[in-house]
Amino acid sequence: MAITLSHKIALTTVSNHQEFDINHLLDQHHDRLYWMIRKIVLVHNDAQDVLQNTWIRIHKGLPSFRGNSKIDTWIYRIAYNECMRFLTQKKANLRLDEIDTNYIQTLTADEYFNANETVTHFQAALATLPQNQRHVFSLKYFDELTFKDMAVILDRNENSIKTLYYKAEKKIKEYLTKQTIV
Amino acid sequence: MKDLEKLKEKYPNKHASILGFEQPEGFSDHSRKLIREKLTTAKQKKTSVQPLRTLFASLAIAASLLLVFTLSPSPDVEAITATDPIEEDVFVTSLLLNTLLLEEEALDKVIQESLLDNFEENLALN
Repeated sequence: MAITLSHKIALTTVSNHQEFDINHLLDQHHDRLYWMIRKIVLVHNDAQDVLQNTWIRIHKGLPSFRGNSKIDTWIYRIAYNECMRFLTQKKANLRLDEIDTNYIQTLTADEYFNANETVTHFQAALATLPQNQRHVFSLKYFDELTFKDMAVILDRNENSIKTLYYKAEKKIKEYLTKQTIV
Repeated sequence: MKDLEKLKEKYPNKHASILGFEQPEGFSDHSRKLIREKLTTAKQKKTSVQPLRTLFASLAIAASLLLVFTLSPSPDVEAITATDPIEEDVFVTSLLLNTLLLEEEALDKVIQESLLDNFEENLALN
């Protein structure tokens, strides 16, 4: 069964006095965080490393979490920042508004990537997107986050997130229509 | 968007079917276990570091206090006393008082006498 974030994300804003158990959070968010990270860093082993670092940061930051945002959004933001830290280390001149020319190459080099016809077309469509559009598209389409939450996670204006998403969606649809996959 | 939604419906396991992302078998449980271990280690490190941090903080405060006491003047050093009161120049004051109501000619006489008196007085003192 597919895991959707909309089912899992608690919509209540936490009060300042609410305490969170790291083990409970880990059980609740482990898988979804992994997939979110994997879609950004692409390779399984890298995703695993980033995931571990993310949980250490969550653990460190949890006592100072003030409840100004939803705990889920806060966790996703830490994960996204950790992904960016990883990508910056990998590529010093990382530019999110540019297309990652090594996208397909990185994917196919991973032993945990299995391409069938659908995957090949879809990934080829994603490869045409600049990185920021790809991230926004993934968070909305696969993780089913709201634009409002994405604005917090990506530290951007909600309208610019919407623009990035619609641009990405349009490009993917155009690409897939050409390939007649949908 | 409808077309993309259809694609998602067609492939419920979207990460594998649409993106081709796979995981090693039992990854989720294994990873959770590994992360829990790391968190426990981090917690233990934090706990063992805490008393050391307190010790270092106490030492730093003690050292600062010691430095402050060392640099501050010791009690046997003479404290700065108030400056001596300015002595009134009796000669000038009395001269002024005496001359306020005098005419010019009388004033000259008084000044000369006073200067002479003052000179003699100084001479006698020395």
